[in-house]
Amino acid sequence: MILTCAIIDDEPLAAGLLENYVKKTPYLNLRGTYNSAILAMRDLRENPVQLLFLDIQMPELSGIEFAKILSKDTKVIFTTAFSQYAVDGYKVNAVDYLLKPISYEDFLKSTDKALERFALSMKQDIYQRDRFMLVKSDYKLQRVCLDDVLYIEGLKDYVRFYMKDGETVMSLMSMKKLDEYLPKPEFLRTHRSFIVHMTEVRLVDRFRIVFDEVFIPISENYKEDVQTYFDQHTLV
Amino acid sequence: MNKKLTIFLHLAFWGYMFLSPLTYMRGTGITLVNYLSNCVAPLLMMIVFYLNFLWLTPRYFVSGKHRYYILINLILVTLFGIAQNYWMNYAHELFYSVPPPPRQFTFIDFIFFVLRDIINLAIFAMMATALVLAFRWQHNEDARLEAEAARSEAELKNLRSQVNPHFLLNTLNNIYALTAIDQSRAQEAVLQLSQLLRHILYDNQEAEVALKDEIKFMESYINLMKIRLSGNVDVRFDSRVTRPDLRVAPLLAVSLVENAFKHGISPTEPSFVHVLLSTDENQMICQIENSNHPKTEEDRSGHGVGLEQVQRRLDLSYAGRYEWEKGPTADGKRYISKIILHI
Repeated sequence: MILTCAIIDDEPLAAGLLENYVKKTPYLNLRGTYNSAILAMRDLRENPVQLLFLDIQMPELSGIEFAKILSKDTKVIFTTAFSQYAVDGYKVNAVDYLLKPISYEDFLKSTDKALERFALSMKQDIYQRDRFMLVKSDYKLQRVCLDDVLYIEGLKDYVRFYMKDGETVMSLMSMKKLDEYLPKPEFLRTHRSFIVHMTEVRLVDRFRIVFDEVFIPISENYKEDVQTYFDQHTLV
Repeated sequence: MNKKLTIFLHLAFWGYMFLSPLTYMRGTGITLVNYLSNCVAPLLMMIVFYLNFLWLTPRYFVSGKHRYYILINLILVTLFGIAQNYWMNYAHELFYSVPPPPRQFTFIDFIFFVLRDIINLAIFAMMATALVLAFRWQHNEDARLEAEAARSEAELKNLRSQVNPHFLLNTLNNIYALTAIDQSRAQEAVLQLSQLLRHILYDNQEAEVALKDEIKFMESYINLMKIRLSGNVDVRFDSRVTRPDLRVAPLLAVSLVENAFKHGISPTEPSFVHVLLSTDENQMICQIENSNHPKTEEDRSGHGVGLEQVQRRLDLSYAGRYEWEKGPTADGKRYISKIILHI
């Protein structure tokens, strides 16, 4: 997987250093370097890049302002000499922020993070579109149709899918990872050890989800999203 | 006021007061006993004066307890006024075998004399208080002036040491980038930075530095600013100095240069910063000219702080001996800041 990227920094040397790093990194493809957000605006609107290295402190238009008008498909890594801007950076949903002077090591950590995010969202899109995933089970690959899943239970290093027809599928995987890949809010985590297919819920009894004989608890940590989901679907 | 002089003044004053009875005793004949009996008046005045001077005013008046001060003084002068008149009448009978003067003292006369003495004594009380207050005011004023002098000295020191720390951080970051891109330029930049820091750390501790050192500093500063800028900025520094050993206040112009870089450079349009430093017989001129790219309204953070500092430093170091003109040209395309020091 190759990510297209661009650099915006008003100081030519700072931009030069990033260019140098991008060229060293095999999975990055540099589309352009700009010394002002204004100059970059037209190019990036017509032809969005996947990853943007964006300086925060710039005259005329600051990086934070610019990030707000960017295409949703562009992920941003902020660069700044001043750590107080990092907080603002996270408000506009940046992948990461890099504090100058930027070492190649730090740079690579951030771009790896971005790459992971792209890989994840690509998989999410595929699962959502095709409505099934292949999971490893006893050295075999087994198909799990998302529409047939009732809920998933986590058991130490394994997860177990409970299907509508009473079948179960075991797979070596962490609940955290699985939770990230499943479409939201169709699948919601209700407990450390449970993910529930919300569109299949038939009965909620004293804030527990009931599938036939099984009561699935909703714990304090995950309560908020579940409550919101129920509220949205409750007829008052 | 020194102590001996103070004591002398007190002695002289009371000496005069104690001799004064002699002047009105001429009618009755001067004898020692007569004199001593007449000394009661200045003696009571002295007691009232020093009671107020040493005790009542510092203890009650100054600390705001005006009511006690007035009350105690009223009792004091009334008692003394009455006592003085009884004593004088008594003394008259005691020392003059002859009966009192032909004119008979009525009660009204007595009241009149008592009132006169009370007022005299009260005047002494007030005099003492006024003196105490005057001394205290003088003392406070001295302390205030001293504190102010210390403060402006500290302030001046503080203002001198203000080279923007952001400048240092940014420069170091740029040098870091240079090491990856162009090593010989990186070396050059480290050298410039080292010279600049030396000037700030050592030369800048003095109230005045040689102009040639200041020029070297400006050169380093401007060269370091240059490495941060793209090719569309024209930066020039000229010095036409006939008196390189002239002593000037350090780092005055650098705030203005900093401002010129901050406000004069557009990332998209051609820009320039020109600095000219020159001297002649009795003045030093520093002129900074830059393309005018005013900031937009929302981007005025920290606006004017640097200029205020320059103003303050000029006022502290060159009060009445400087001119400072600044402002955009008529067409609004350039901004000129010019300082003339008369030295």
